[in-house]
Amino acid sequence: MNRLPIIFLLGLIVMFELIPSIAAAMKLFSLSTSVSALLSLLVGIQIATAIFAGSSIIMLWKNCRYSKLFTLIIQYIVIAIPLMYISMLILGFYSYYYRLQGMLFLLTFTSGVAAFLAFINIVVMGISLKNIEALKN
Amino acid sequence: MKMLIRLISLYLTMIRKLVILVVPLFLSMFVSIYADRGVIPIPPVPIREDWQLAIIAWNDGEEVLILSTVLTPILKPVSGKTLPTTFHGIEILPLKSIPYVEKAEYKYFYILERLTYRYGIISPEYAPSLFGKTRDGVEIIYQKRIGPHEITVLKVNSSEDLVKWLIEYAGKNRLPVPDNNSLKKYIEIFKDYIDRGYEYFAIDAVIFSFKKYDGKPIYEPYSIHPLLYKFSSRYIYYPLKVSGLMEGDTRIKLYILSKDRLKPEDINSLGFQITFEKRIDIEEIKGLHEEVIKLFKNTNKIWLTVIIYKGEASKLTKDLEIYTGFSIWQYMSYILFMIPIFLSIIISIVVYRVGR
Repeated sequence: MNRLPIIFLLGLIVMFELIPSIAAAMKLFSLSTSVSALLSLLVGIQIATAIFAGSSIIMLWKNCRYSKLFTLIIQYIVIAIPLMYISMLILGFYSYYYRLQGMLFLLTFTSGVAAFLAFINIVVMGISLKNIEALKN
Repeated sequence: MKMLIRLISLYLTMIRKLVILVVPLFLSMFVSIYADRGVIPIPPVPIREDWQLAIIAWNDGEEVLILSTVLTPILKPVSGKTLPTTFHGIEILPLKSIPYVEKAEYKYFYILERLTYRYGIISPEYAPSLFGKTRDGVEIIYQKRIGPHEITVLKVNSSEDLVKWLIEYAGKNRLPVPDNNSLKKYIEIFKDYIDRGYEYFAIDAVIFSFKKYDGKPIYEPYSIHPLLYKFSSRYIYYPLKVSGLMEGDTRIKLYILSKDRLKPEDINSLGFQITFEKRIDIEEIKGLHEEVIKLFKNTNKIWLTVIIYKGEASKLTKDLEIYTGFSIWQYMSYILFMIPIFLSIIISIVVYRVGR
């Protein structure tokens, strides 16, 4: 299996997840002491996903066991993140934090791009991995 | 061709029907009725309260409360009667100690609002008063005229006597005497306050009138000029249960100034949301009332917390009683931010070691 396209896409996912979420976290905690618990949890999950994606790159590069299964699980988490942001926006959780709404839309957009890349990665991996047995290696 | 035209017209009729059904339903989502605070309307016409704004400064058992409200009567005839051209309201503020009352300014709200923006987060008339004799359960502590307000501070032992006093007060002030039955629900609320030690009541009278636009009577929003109350309190206090007297939705915005950080659990449990919290320099609030400045005379830095409530007034079943000091909930957002990051590092290390 050619791992390079998967690693390349994972690298892009790390970039789209990590840079905006770190910028958002820095702004969030510098503005006020009181930060929405739900929003800080979501930004934390986004940074955690970027760390997972970085670990996947290392594991795929070194051809570790369970690296493909691990990568596949991470892709699904990446897809779930923008869905969480969209749900929060629809439910109006941040109506009080009107000054943060621009940042929220940025996070939703960048995580949405990352989710699209993860979807492509799942398709690429699905083509590469003919059957589920391949995931075990 | 005829068939196609018939189909298109049928389709358009369906869309029109759907629009007729859906649009009012959609618009009704944005229509809300507001009402709030301890206002007894005479006659009992429902009052909508657009905003309730307050600045609360608390330090070492002393509280300064600057309070203003924006009221609008709701155009709703009561039991088929015609709408009155003017009607009155008696505002009630229950307290545990004798308050000192003074006139305040709107500019204090602008000063604090500007401060929150600088840090860039997120986010009448008056009816004349002539006081009558004192009832057994009601004692007049003092009366004071402040601009258009005539404030009466009462010490009350019995809620029934307070209601009787209010009926007499309305009569003596040439206000229409409220219906006895409509006041029954207030007796229970006042009794609860008296039982909990809130035996001092600051009374104020307001008057509403309407104008006609296109032949329809429109009651204008009426902003009650801010008043300052200074009283002793072991904790940060803001009366909310008295708001349960009204129906509909309400919006409350409180600017709280304190020496120490507030415990968020006391705020969140009542449905309030903290929208701003920061330690500011005492110099930044020098434009505020001198009673507020005096409260923090030996302090260089204070906490400014802005909390908001949006929701049904009937859900306000408890008063806001906030304590200051350390609480784990103050750091909850940091903890929730760090947990997934630490977990991801640990899981990544474990998976890498297992897979190697």
